Amino acid sequence: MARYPARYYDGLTARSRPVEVEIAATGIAIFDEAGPVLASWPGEGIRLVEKPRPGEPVRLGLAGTTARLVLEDHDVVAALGKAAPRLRRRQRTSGRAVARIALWVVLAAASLAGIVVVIIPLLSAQFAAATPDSTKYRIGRSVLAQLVELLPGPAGAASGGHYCSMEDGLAVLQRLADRLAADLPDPPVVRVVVVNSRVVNAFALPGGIMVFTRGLIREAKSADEVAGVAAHELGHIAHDHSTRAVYRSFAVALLVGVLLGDLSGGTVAGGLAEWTLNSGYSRDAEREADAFALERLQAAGIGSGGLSDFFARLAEKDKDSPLIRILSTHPASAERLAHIRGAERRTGRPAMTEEDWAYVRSACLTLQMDPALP
Amino acid sequence: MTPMQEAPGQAARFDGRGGALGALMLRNLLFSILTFGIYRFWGRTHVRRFVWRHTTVLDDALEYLGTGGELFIGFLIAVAVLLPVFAAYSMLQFLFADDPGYALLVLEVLYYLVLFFLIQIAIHRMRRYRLTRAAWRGVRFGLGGSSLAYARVAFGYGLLTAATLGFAYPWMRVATLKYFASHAYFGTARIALAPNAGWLFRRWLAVVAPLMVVTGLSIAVNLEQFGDIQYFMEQEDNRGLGEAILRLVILPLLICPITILTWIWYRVVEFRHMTGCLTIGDTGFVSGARPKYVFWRILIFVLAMVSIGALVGAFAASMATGFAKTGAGPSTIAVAVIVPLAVFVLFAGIVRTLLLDIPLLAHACETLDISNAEALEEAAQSSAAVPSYGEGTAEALDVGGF
Repeated sequence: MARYPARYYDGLTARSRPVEVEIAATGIAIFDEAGPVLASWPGEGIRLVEKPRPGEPVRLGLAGTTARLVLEDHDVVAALGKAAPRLRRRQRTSGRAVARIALWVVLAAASLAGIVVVIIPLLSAQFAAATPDSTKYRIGRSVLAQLVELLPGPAGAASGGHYCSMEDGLAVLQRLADRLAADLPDPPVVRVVVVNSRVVNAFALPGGIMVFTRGLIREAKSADEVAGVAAHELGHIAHDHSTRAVYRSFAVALLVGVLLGDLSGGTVAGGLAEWTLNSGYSRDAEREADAFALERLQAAGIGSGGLSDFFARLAEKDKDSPLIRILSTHPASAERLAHIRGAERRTGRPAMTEEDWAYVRSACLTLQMDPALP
Repeated sequence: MTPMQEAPGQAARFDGRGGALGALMLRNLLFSILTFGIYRFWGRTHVRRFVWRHTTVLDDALEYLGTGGELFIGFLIAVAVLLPVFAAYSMLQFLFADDPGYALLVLEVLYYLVLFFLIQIAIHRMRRYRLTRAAWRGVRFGLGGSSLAYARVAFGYGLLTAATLGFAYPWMRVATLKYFASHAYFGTARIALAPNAGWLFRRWLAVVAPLMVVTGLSIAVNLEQFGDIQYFMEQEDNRGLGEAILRLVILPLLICPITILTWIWYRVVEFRHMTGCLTIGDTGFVSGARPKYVFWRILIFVLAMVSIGALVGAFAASMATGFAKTGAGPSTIAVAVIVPLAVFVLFAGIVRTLLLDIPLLAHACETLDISNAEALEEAAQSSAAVPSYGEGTAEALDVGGF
């Protein structure tokens, strides 16, 4: 019977013993150099501690212990054969390893998609519903402060301020928003702000903050168009889409942080992913706000033509300005436009008098650094 | 074949090939990207098995017994514990963003104190996991003590060091390492560490004294404005304070590269001192690690990183201008810049391991001497319990290397 020289560690004492190993049908016997058997390992328990590599000794272990045998002769692996049926138990062929990793990739992607698409929106809605209005308003003000920094100018100290401050025009817009909300069963508090940016857009922020841009007021061809946008934003406010969006982006940021193993600080990749995921409300939210807007305009006796005209023009503009598309919370899809246009084009009274409309258009003649919010 | 060799410099060695380790780390990086980072726990386990296996002490290799699954579960537990802390902090930060008072400042200070404490807990838990998952000659290492007790020691001495402007640093090192070593064991053999903080402090003066002299000179030179608080206060916003810090602290540091040299020298001297004061059972150690060698290794690493970084930066810049000319939107340009930089950050870890960590480990091994090595044979397997999952808090907080 062939014997293999080895070094033996019994897993009980820190002693290295020169031994000889003999392979039998049901396991191996470990002989002291002096002759007597030191130990015998049952074949079922014998494992390769490491994949045998050329130039490195073969390391055998006894399952469940730290007992080890180190052999220079690689032939022992082949010689063990049937005597050690579970020799490679923790190793797998490379093909199976690749398949296993591929499976994990699919599972990881699926669970990630599940979290982002289902769980985070659900939880955000729950949290938004449970948030007191005063907290929502604080969040809204923080978002507003970030928003004016993000929006391209003319803005900032150089051009006089972030916010338009002509009180008469702001008061007209505030009255318009209040009128649209007036006869709702649970009317939300709306606070209108006009920001000094050339971007054509409007935003609904947590706490009922309704933001128009200077660019939007300049772009609007009539007061009805502004009323249409106001009704749409009121829809976002009434359904609290913005608070949910804030919680959602917050959750996504945390999730990305967890995945990248960097909970404590933001990372470049994290910021990029978060930005991509949060660049707009969902299609459902937009549809909800559109339906709400049509209903509100009718209730206030205002025609629906302004809303559809304005969004059609905004969609045209979107095509040639990627920056607006990134910042826009209103991806005006063809489907949405078709939906708004498909609705019966009702006529009504003008949204406001010509005099009031002139006040609105001159709201940005004076500017200030801080928003005129309570 | 006798395992006991006591010729100088033969007590330990690292015989792993950089190429093999580099290939392993590249494979890990690829799989980690494909699995959104989840593979990294298994990848890290492979790297540790490699490094431990190729680290030979008295002709017997170390063995890493940990598994990727343990690291993963430890990480999940840490996330569950830490996520609420970070969520609460981010939320409060958001709510107080436009608070004109000191609420935000207080919040930040509190947060970083809590974070510092958590990191100390993480360090002890990480060490315990690594020691219990390391074996030599079939006998496991281990670490007792409590992570809370360790964190209290490290936190207290950390505050003391900050309050004394760094003068208490050697005492902090001695206190924390002593707590660590005296709770560690190799099988049934106790580990002990008896360093001399006063001796270390005299070496530490070589680091702080030049700094103090330069800072003092800088204050003297800037005394006119320094005495005239009004000058800094009149500056808009916080720029006055920023300028004061820049002129009085940062600039002296920048013009003081000597501090880098003395710092490296101190750390090597400290390592040698700590090694010399370490005993496992009745076995002692001596390290002959050379500051000069460590300095050159760090220089090579820094030069490599700077040149790779410059290349990547130039590449990103040319990509961005190229895209800008074709009229691409800002999002495309941002991606063109961010992707090469992200790749650089990911590869930086591999470069660091190959050019810095491994050469320093090899140097520490080659310069190690062991006295009374036979006494190690007295150690028997300990029956102390081992933790069943690993290292999560440290992973989540990004503490520790590979």
